[in-house]
Parts: sequence; structure tokens; C-alpha cells
Amino acid sequence: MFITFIITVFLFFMFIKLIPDNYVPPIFQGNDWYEINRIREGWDKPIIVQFFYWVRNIFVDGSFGFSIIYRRDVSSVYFGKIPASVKINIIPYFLSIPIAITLGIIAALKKNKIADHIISIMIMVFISVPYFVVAVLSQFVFYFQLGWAPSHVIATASEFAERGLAYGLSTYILPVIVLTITAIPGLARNVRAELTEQLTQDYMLLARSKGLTRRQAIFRHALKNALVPFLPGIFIGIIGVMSGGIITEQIFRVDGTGRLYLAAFNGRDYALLMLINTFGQFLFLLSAIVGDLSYTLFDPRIRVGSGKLS
Amino acid sequence: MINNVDKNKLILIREDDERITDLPLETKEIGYYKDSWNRFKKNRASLAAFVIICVIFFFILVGPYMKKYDLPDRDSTAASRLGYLTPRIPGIENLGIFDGTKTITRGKQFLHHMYFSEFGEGIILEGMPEELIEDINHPDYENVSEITVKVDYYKYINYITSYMPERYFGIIRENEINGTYNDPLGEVRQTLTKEKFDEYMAKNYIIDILAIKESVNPNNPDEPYYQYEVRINQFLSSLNQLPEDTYFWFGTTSRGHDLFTEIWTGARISLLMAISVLIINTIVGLTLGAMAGYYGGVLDLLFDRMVEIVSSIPFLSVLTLLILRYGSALWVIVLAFTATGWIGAYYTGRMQFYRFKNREYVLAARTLGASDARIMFKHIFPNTLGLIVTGYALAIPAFVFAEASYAFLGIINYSNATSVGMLIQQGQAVMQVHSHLLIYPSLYIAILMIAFNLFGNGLRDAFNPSLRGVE
Repeated sequence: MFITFIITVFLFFMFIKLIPDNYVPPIFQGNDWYEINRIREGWDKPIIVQFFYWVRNIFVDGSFGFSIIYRRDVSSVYFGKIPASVKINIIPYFLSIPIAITLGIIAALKKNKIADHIISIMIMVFISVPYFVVAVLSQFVFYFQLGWAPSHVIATASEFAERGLAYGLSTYILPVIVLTITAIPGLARNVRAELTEQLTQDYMLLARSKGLTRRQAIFRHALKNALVPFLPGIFIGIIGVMSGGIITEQIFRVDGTGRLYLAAFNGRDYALLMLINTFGQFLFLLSAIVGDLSYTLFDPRIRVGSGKLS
Repeated sequence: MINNVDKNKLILIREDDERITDLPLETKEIGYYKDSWNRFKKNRASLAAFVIICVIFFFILVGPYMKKYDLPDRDSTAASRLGYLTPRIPGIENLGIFDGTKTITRGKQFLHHMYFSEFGEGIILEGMPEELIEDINHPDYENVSEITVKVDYYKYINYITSYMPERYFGIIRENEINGTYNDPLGEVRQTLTKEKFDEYMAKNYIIDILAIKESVNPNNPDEPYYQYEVRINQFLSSLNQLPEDTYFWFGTTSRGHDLFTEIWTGARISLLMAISVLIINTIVGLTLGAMAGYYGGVLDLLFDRMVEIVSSIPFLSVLTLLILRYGSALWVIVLAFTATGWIGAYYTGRMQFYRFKNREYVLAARTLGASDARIMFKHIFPNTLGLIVTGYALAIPAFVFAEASYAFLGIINYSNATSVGMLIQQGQAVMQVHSHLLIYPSLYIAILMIAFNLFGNGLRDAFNPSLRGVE
């Protein structure tokens, strides 16, 4: 797993270095930063040597490279943007999980009744319609047509200072609702499918025959079994909150990591792209480890160390 | 016990030597596909989705040719003057929707002048206060500078592009204040030569003549050059029809393209991309998966490591890096989608071939001397076909979804085409004033995605034999 991480990071690095740079030194001006970085990152050396320079700089100086659009070290740019992304993502994340699980349970218990049909149709619609369409249309309807939302984007720091905390927070309501709603259907559908399957298992029949009521049997046995597959995913999702979403941040003008990615893409800031990809890959690795470990935590049938490693 | 039975009491019920056989079934035989189709038909939502998909495909095939409108190719300047027209469909316009009207807010003097000018007749449909019509300086409206009215937007656009620009009174006022001499009719004033003038006159394009300029012809002093400064009816001169007869079903974009045509051409690109990605993914993934699953051993192990690395690379990174390197042509997008996309087909192929390779029928084929390739293609492959085909129906919307999302973000930005995601992005920028540019592309993609997902789910259930008789 760790080896995969290193290989993929190296692949990113190599591919970024293969992109033509087309750097033109400015005329009649100092070109100091270019010369400094050329020496520091070994731009005149082979790619594989540059990669080791890059790794060395990370561990020796804590530097991930020099951003050509922001004119400072990329790590200070990137890590400074993470709080904004977390701020917009964390509330919808914690709101959506209980709602999704509840809806999934209701749909499974009332299978083929009206409640199930309504929930299933909503799930179908919100899974199908692309997220950005939902977000943009909600902006259009709730801000431009109905005027309920105070703004179609979230407030910036200066607007917070100018128009007060209440206004600033109220601009968060629309994106939070949209994010919550679009995060629900996937989980709800899986919970419904899993619980439906658990309800037809033989142990449910046994539980009923030994005298438990339907409610007791569901909550003590079926539910526990049905939710086990999702708990690691929920843990992993917390890590995912950090990486933010490009679409959300672009639509609602969040000054976070997602917009930074677009800025790096449009401005061809390769050092920044490299850092973002590496960090994303790191989060991926981290979530895989957390996922594996948390399985043992929730499911007593799985233990660390037993059985051979594959 | 048996031995105690008196054998004399046993009698034969049937004396003759008749052979007893099974009766042939009298019902008609139902094959796998027939059965699947029967069960698919029962799922009404999926059937409706199937019909919708057929309709969408029909429009994708013929939609771009339904409207004869080549103005943007002929004259992009004239086309951009016809930008942002609202939707209008013949027939439906009488019901109050798709009638090409729009509610706008403009200066009262401008609207008042439009109301009484001959050319502006019938533009304002409602919203003009009675008092203001009688007297522009009515005391009730002294402090009101702007009025909101509902207009026939086609006529309105014709009015402002050919008769009087929206800034007419603004420029006059600026001239009074600053003492400048800017031409208030500058945007609509057009200068024609004699030949052009005669031609337009014959076709009745010209509204009025503002000035005639005479200049000396050096070759022949008796015949001086004439230049005519005129106002031209924009719709007549560029479309050869009156605004009343002009219909843009979904309106026009900022550059004057017909939105209806644009949506279907965009849809064609994204579906073309999705299908080509799907075909490449399947071929690459299945071939590798079949080899890994069938031969196993070291090959399988090597492929497994490779797949682990490839699958851990995020799609977004691949896409951005490829676009930065090679630009944003269609083949780059297809390459980006296939670079990591074949993993799914690989897993399917590997699993199926691994499962079937030790079956008896494979052993039988091998005993009869069939080659590996023959076993793989002729015997195992047909068994995996059902799984692959049902996967298609759910994979196409996934690709369309991703393509639309990244086109919306501006990461995918075709240089010579407009996909639906790009249309939505353009619509989002102007959604406050020209909402039709946002609504129709969004609706298209929403309907397409819902239909495809419903259809795919129905297909998956129908082809799954274990669900037989459950519903």
C-alpha cells in the first residue's frame, strides 16, 4: 500500500515534469527566483534526480516547491486553504449521515408502501441529477427567483466584517442544505438495500420465533448487521472532508482547496498541482489504512493478524 | 413384510407393452432473452425511461438538422445581435408559455418613446402605467425613473438593434451634461453604398434614411459617390423574416446560436465520448482480465499489482495532467477516461474467466483439442456477455455525468464544440437575466440521467435470473 503511494506520487511527478514548461525569462529584470529554484530543485538534472531533490526538500526544509502564481511556498498556500473547505463540508457531512440512515431504515421497513416509494423516488432523482445542476438550480430558484437566500454565494471574510456575523452565517444555509441533500441518497440507498437483505435472513426468523417482537428483532439484530458495512465508510468520509469539493467551491465561491486546484490548473502552477495531487494521494492512503483498521473495530468477525496477508 | 404378500392377489393394470414417456410441454418455450424482456416490460418506470431514451436519441440524431439557421456561420456579428432571445414555440405560444416574452426594467423615457413610435408598436404587452402613457411628466411618476414591463422580446431586440439603442436617451443626456457630441444612434446607424442601398430598398429592409453623403468621384466628376446612412430592420436583413415569424424553440445563446440545436449537438458529443470510452474500456479491460483470469499464476500477480497502482490514481489527476499536456481535444478526454476506466471491465473479466475456466464444459472443449483462444472466445465469453451488456446501461450515464461535471468546471473545454456542461456553465453566468440559458440544458441533463438510471436498473433486474418470479 505504501509502495503504491510512492509509485503513484512518482508517476505524478514524472508526468508533470514531462509537460513543457515554456518559461520565458523576463527581459531587463532580475530572474533570481528562477535561478534559486533551479539550483534548489535541480531543474537541470534528470527527472529521477529531481524527484529525490523534491523529496529531500520536503524533509529538510518542509518545502513542496515554489508557486508561480502566488509567489511563495506552495505548502503555505495550500494548507492555509484547508480550513475554508472543512468549514463548508463538515456540517453537511454530519447532518447527512443520520438523515440518510434514518431514511434508509424507514424505506426498508416499509418496503413497497407509500413511504418507501416516495423515498425511493427521491433517492433515484437525486442520485441521477448531477450535483452541479442541483446546486446551480437551487441558486437560481432560491436566490434569483424567490429571494429567500441572502446571497447566491457564501460571504467572504470582508463581507463578514462589513455586514455582521448573522449575515455571514446565513449565506452558509443554502450551500449546507444543498450539500446535505445531495450527500443523502447514496448512503440511504445502500442502507435500504442492506437492511432489506438482512430482514430476510434466517436469524430474523429465529429471533421472532424465540419471542422477540418485530421491533426488538430489528433493532437488536438486523440493524446492527446492516450498518456494519457502512461504519468504516463514515470514518473514511471524515478524511474526505479535508479534500473539499471542486464543484461546491466553484459554485458557491468558497475560497478553499477545490478552487485552488482550478486556479493551479488554469494558471499552470505545476508545483501546486504536484502538492495537491500528492496530498490527495496521501489522504487516499490514510483513508485506506483507517478503513482497514476500523473494520476490525466494528466487525468482530474480522481481526488483525489472523489469516494470511494478501 | 413384502414377502408375506400373496402373489396371486397382484394383478397387472396394463397388459400391453406400452412405453411410458414424458408428455411434451404444451406451453411455448421462453428463452433467456425473451424472459428478460417479459420481466423488463413489467417494470413500467423502466419502460417509460426506455421510451424517453429513444426520444432523446431521436433528437440527438435529427435535432441539429431540424432548424435551418446558419446565421452564426454566415455572419457572426449579425448573429450576436440576436443573442439571448427567449424561447418561443409555434402553437404552444398561445398558451402563455414559450411565447417569447420577457419582463424587463428600462428607463421610462425610453419605454414611453417606444410605446408611441411607429416601429415600436406592439412591443410592450403589459405593465405600462396608464398615467405615464398620457403624460411622460405625470406627477405620480416623478421620482420613478425605471418601469418594469412585459415585452415581446423578439420585437424588442429588433427595436434596439435596428431602430433605437437602449442607451439612446442616456447618450443624449451625457451630451447635454458634458457638452460632447456622441452619436446616440451610433449602434444602429449603418452606412451603405449605392448598390447595397438599392438592393436593400428593393427588399424593403430599410426603415428610414438618416443622411445621404455625397463624395466626389475622381474618375467621373459628373457622377459623385453616394453613401446612405440608414437604419435597417435587423431581423429582415439577417433572417429575411419578421420577428413575429421568427421562432427559436429554446431561445438563443449569447452569440446568437440556436439553443435547441446547441443542446443536441452537445449531447451528441458527450454520448459519442461515452460510447467510445465504453467500447475501448471493454476491449482493453476484458482482454487483460481474460488473460489474467484464464492463465492465472505469475501473469495474474503482475496484472494485479499494476491494477492496484492504476486504480489508486484519481481520475481528476489523470484528466488535468493529460489536458495540460495535450490540450482539450476529444481524443484526450477519451484517453483520460480510458486510462483508469478499464479497471471495472478488468475485474469483471477476471472474475468470470477465473470462475468458468475449471468448469466441465471447458474441460470437454479442451479434451476435444480446442485452443485457448477458442475456449476463451467461443465458450467462456458468451457466458459473460449478459453481465457486460447490463453494465453498459449504467456506465453510459456515469460517463455523461462526469463529462458534464468537468465541462461545467471548465476543465474539459473543447475548442471546436460546446458540450452540455459548457452550456450550463455559460447559463450560470447569466442566470439572473437570461434564465432560459440555464434551465433548458439543466433540464435536458437531468431528464437524461434519470431516464438512463431507471432504464439501467430495470435492465439489470431483468437480466438477473435470480430475481425471476420474485416481483
